[in-house]
Amino acid sequence: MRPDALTLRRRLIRDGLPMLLLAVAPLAAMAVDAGWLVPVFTRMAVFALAAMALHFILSIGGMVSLGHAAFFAIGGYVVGIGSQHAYDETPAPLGLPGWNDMLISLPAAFAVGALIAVPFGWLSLRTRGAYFIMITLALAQMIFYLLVSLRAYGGEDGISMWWGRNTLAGLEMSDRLALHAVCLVILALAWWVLSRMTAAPFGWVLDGARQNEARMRALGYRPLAYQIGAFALSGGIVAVAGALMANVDEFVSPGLGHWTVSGELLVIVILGGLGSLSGAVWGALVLLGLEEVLMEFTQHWAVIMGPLLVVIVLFARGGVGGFLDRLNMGKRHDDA
Amino acid sequence: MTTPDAPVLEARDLHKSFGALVATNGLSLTVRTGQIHALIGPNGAGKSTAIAQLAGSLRPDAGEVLFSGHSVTRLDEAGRARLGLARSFQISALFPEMTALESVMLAVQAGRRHHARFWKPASADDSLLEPARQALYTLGIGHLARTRASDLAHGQRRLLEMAMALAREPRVLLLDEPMAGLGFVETRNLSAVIHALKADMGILLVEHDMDVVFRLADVVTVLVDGAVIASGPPSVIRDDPDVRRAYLSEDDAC
Repeated sequence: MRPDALTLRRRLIRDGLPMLLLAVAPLAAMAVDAGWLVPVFTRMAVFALAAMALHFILSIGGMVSLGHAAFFAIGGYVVGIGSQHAYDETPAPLGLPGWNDMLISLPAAFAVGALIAVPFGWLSLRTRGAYFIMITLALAQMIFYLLVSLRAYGGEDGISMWWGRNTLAGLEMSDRLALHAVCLVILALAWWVLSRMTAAPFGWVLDGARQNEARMRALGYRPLAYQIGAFALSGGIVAVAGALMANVDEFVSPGLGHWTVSGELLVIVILGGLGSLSGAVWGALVLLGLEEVLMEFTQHWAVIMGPLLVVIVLFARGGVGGFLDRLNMGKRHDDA
Repeated sequence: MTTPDAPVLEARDLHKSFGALVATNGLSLTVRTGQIHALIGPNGAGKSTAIAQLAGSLRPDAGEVLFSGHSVTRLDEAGRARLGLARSFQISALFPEMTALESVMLAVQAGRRHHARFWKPASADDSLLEPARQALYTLGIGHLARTRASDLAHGQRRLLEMAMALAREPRVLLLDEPMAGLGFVETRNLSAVIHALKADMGILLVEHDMDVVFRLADVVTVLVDGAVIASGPPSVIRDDPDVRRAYLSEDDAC
C-alpha cells in the first residue's frame, strides 16, 4: 500500500543485501575453517523468518503482538514431539505415527500454529493498543506453562533430539550448510508470499483498518476476518520458524516460548524498521550479530546491549531500513 | 431502482437513550431518490446520533430502519454499506497514509467480489483505478490523486471524503455537515456537486449553514431534543412558528 518510491538500486541494497549476507556468510565461514559459525547465521535466518511474520501484522495491520513466542514454541514442539515418537516408535498424540521429515513437520507446524492463532487472534482483537499487547502476552504465557507441564515431553527440560534432526524428503540433514540453505529458502519464500499479500487487496484492507477502522466499516468492509486471517498466517509462519529452530538446536524446551523471545522478535522488527519486510532480516542480523560479538567480550553483554539498543532506536529512527532510506534521500525520483 | 420519489431510506419511530439522556425520541423520516432531505436542529438535537442509527454504527433502542422497503435494523454498518448506503463523516475520516487515489480505490474495492483478493497487486487493477479517478475528477480534485490524505488541505479533505462516499455509486448518501470549515467558494462548489448528485440517489444532509440548507433541500426536517418538531418543504419550514421559536430565532440572534 505505501507508495514505493524506491529505485531499483536502493531496493537491491535495502532488500537484497541482507539476504546476500545470509547466503554468503556461512560459505565464507566454512572457507576460513570457522564452520562452528554457520549455526549462528542459520539462527539469524530463522529469527528473521519469525520476525518477518510479526512485521507483517505489525506494520500493515497495526497488531503489536507480544505473544508470538507461543507459536515459535508450538512449531518447535511439533518437531520435537513427532521426532521423539518416531525414534521411540510409539504412537504420537491422536494415535498418529511419529514424524521425522520436514515435508511433514514443517507444514504440520504451520497448520497447528495457524489453527491456534485463530482463537488467539479472535480474543486479542477484541482490544487494541496496550490491551492487545497484554492479552497476547497472557495467552502466550498460558502456552508456556502448558509446555512446562508436559511431563511426557520432558517438562521444563524439554526434548533433546540426540538422535538427530528431521530428514528432508528422506535426505539426512546433518550437514549444517544444507540446513542453512533450507532455512534461507523458506525465508525467501515467506518474504515473497508476504509481500504479495501486502500489495494485494487483502493487504490494503489490513492497512486501511489500521489507519481508520470506522471508515472501513462505513465503506462496507468487515476488517475483523481479515485481521484474524493475517494473525493466523503470521502465527503459522512463526511456528515454521520454531520448527526450523528445533532442527538447528536439535533441542526443544518451553524456553522457546518464553516471553523474552516475543520481546526479542519485537526488538528485531523495530530495529530493522517498519518500512519494508526486509527490516526483519536486517534486525535479525544486527541483534543476533551484536549478541554474538558482545558475548565474546563479556558475560555481562546484556548490560551493553540494552543501552545500545536504546541508542540505535533513538538515533536511527525507522530502524536500519529507515537509516538506509535516509542515506538515499537524494536519489528519490518518482514520488508515486 | 432509481425511480424518482421512491422512498429509499426510512426511519420509523427511532428511539435511543444514553442513560438519562434521550438522544432520539420517536424519529421518523423518509429519504427519497431524487431528493435532498435536510436534517437540521440546534446543537445537541441528536442529528449525529440519528445519522449513526441510519448508517448502522449505532443500534436504536426501538424503531426500525428500512432500506428500499426492507428492514435493515439488524444489519451492521458494513452490511448496509454493501446495500448502497454511503456516508461522509462530520470530522474527515480518511486514511492518512494513503494517497487520494488509493483511498478512493479502497472505497471502490469494497463493493467488489474479488477473485484475486490475496495475490494480485491491487494498485495495478484497472477496474479499481478508473472509477476512482472518475470520482476524484467529479469532485474537482483529480490533480491531487497522488497526494497523501494527510498532506491535503482541509477543504480538499472534505472533497476526498465525498469522493470516497460516492465511489461506490450509492443509492443513499448520508452527509454529516459536509460544509463544516469550508470557505465561501468551496461551499458553493460543493453545493453544486451535491445538487447534481441527487438525480441518482437520495441524500440526507445534516448541515448548520442555513443558506445552504434552504438553497439545496427539497424537504427539511427539524429536530429538537431528539424529536421531530416540523417536517416539510423549505418554504413551509421557514415560516413555521415552532421552528422559528426553537431554532431559527437563536440562529438569527448571532
